Amino acid sequence: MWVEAHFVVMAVHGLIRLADGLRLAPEFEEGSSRRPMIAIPDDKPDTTDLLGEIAKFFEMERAPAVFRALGRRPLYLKMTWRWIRSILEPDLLSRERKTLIALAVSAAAGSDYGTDFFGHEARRLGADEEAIWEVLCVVQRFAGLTKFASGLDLRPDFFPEWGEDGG
Amino acid sequence: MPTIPIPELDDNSAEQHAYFDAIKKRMNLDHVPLISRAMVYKLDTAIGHSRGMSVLMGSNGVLPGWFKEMLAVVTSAVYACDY
Repeated sequence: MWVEAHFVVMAVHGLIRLADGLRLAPEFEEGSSRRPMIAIPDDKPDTTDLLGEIAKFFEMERAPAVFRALGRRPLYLKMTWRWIRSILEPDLLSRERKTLIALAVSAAAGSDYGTDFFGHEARRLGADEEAIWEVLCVVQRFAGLTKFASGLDLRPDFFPEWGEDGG
Repeated sequence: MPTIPIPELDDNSAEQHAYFDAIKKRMNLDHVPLISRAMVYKLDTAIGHSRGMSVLMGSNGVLPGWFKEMLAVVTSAVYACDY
């Protein structure tokens, strides 16, 4: 379960850094005047089916812009999507829980694109206002706590029997 | 090495004892972690933080406690915080 959670961190943190690096407007924010760093390609014959599959996975009319941006290199899009899909599909953690983790990652990383996208996804998958509030408050608490610990240079001591090398 | 000396338990402070006991109980630990000990320089602030954590991280919300701990670890990973 922990590995599943951290695969979500790995996939989502990378994806939202790409979206923010490309300066993509949040998917569900209307009227954004933000211009992407590079042109987002239209569907090409060799990406149409795959982008359709991605749109269907997220129940959107079009695939999210971050995936369309990846479509510049159709093979890279294909490899990346297959990998991300395998991570987001339910296993030991449900898809809703994985999406809440993705929302936490996005909020912690300060990603407008990710917070907007995964907040919308979490609601679509059944998360209510209370669940989203709890996720964001956990991020709030630990965003602060981690800085307190790092600022004072505290070393992990929750499992002293493990020793300093953790094992 | 921490940038400040980390206080040990003050046997003369009932308030500090109560705070440390509450921490051990909430976190199911037999020792008080450094981060909680470091906070006792400002005991009122430490207690306020601890009470907020109990309300947020307990099982009284809609998400289970274990999942909120997982979110805490995820957040810590994003901030690359070993602690």
